[in-house]
Amino acid sequence: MTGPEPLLEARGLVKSFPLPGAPVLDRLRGRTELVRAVDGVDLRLEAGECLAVVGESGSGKTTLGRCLLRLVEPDAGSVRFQGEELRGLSSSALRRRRRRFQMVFQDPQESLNPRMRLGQIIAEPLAAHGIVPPGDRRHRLLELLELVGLDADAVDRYPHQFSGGQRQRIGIARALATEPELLVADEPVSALDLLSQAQVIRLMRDLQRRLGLGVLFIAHDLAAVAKLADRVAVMHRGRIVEEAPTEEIFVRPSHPYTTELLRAIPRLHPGNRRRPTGTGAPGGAPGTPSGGPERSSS
Amino acid sequence: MAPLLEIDHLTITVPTPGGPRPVVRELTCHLDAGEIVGLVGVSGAGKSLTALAVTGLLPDGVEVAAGRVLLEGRDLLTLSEPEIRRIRGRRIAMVFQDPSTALNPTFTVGFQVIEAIRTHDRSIGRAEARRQAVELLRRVALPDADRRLSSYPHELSGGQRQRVVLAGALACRPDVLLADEPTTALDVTTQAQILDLLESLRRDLGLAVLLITHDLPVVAETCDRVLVLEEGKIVEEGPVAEVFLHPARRHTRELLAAAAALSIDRLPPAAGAPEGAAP
Repeated sequence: MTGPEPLLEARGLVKSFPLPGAPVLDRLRGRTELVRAVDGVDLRLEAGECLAVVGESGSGKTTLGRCLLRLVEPDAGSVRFQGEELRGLSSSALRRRRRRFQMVFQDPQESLNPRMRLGQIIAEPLAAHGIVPPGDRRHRLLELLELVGLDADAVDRYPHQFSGGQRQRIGIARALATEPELLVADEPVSALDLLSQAQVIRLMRDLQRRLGLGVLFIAHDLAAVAKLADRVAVMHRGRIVEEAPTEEIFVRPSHPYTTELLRAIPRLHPGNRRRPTGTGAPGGAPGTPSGGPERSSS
Repeated sequence: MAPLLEIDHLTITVPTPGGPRPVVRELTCHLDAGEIVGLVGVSGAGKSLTALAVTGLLPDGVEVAAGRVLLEGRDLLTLSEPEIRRIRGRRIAMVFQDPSTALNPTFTVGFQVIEAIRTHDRSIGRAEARRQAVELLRRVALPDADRRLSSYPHELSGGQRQRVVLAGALACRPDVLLADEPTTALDVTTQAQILDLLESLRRDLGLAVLLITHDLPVVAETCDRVLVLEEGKIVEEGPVAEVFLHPARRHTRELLAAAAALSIDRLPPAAGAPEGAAP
């Protein structure tokens, strides 16, 4: 257990970008309008907890994730990891900390070097951070593969020889190689096929519980985080407009934007349609939407 | 009465070093006017190829090995290229997942929609085509339709671009719309608007829609019937409520279980899959 310090805490985080489309000269002179992608965000993640940051495209959620790990330099605000301020750390000091917070990206195809065998891909962070003696690396490698449900003989294969879901498992194994306490996963399943999505979500939930990982799950889809997150923060135009335990968000959303998001999510139970269907109402349609949904249709 | 569109024992092959391999196998289904039918399956199940075969747009080397595609009883697969081109757009339109690739970035929205209107009917004058374009863009609920005529695609959001694509697809008042993952790239609120739009097009214009998707909640929300595709074969079909609440086939249950793990509501236990049901 860690002390009373949260695993990750951000206060007043701000990051602006020049508005796209501004003339280059104006941009060079600093005379452009700025958009605040992240506009004063406070956020707290406890050790072993999963917090989902949900927002639509352009809400600033990806920039927020990157600011938190200083992959993008914030303009203002503070980011503390286990009580230590990350902003202002020198790049070498930051690099030493990086083994403790890792990132999983949306598109495993883009984030894996196509010319490296799986073994090299996963072992690279082990060597880079010098945390496992060379003699033990093979053992650790196999352990990691098993952790994410890949066969040992996968070691010698190249990324293109795996399916999308398997590649995302590789991305997760690589992130876990340094035994981080925090995983920031930016849309880890949105590029995957339905069956793989469900499997990767399940894998992340298992790993999070088994390893006591703190997970920041960034997603555009409230439905995808429902089964994984302990708490949900809803992001809109650079701000967190609502934050609550997951169940709370679904049962009693307090911000109108959250309500709008929830209403837009299609329901799986055909009896829970948002709107009645015009024609072709099928024979054995269920009479009531009482099939155990968390929310009834509006 | 014959169905509007009928696919009859369609087999599609792709070339492999070992010879043509079937990827769609003896697929039979139909689509009636005013109906929205979901075609679901994992990637690679053959969903998109089926739609491309209907419009005669299969990529080189991919071939229809057997079967028929009948539009009001007429076999489209026997038509010459100019004939099928007349059917495409005028009778059967297609929209794809990524609206930005369907629009030409160097032309205005207005030019592209007007072009779509005039391509299929040269007797329509420019002023009239322009009037129709505005009407179409209003029909697909593009805000500020009048002014948007002079916008370029990059000036629009993803949802607005998909509306423009739909306007173009509807330009010639098709009877059938093949929609291949039309909302997959969109935000959930935009997706809801596009699905509402499909629903209103079916209701007001009697459009028949084949909705190709891997998103089962989208099917549950929108479709009358569903076809479940596994490795090129339809393994189960029926009214959405029946298939989703009482799935008969293993693969359907597997898909539903995966969807349930990613959904905010639940299906009754009867539909639950044995493996991996989420808490």
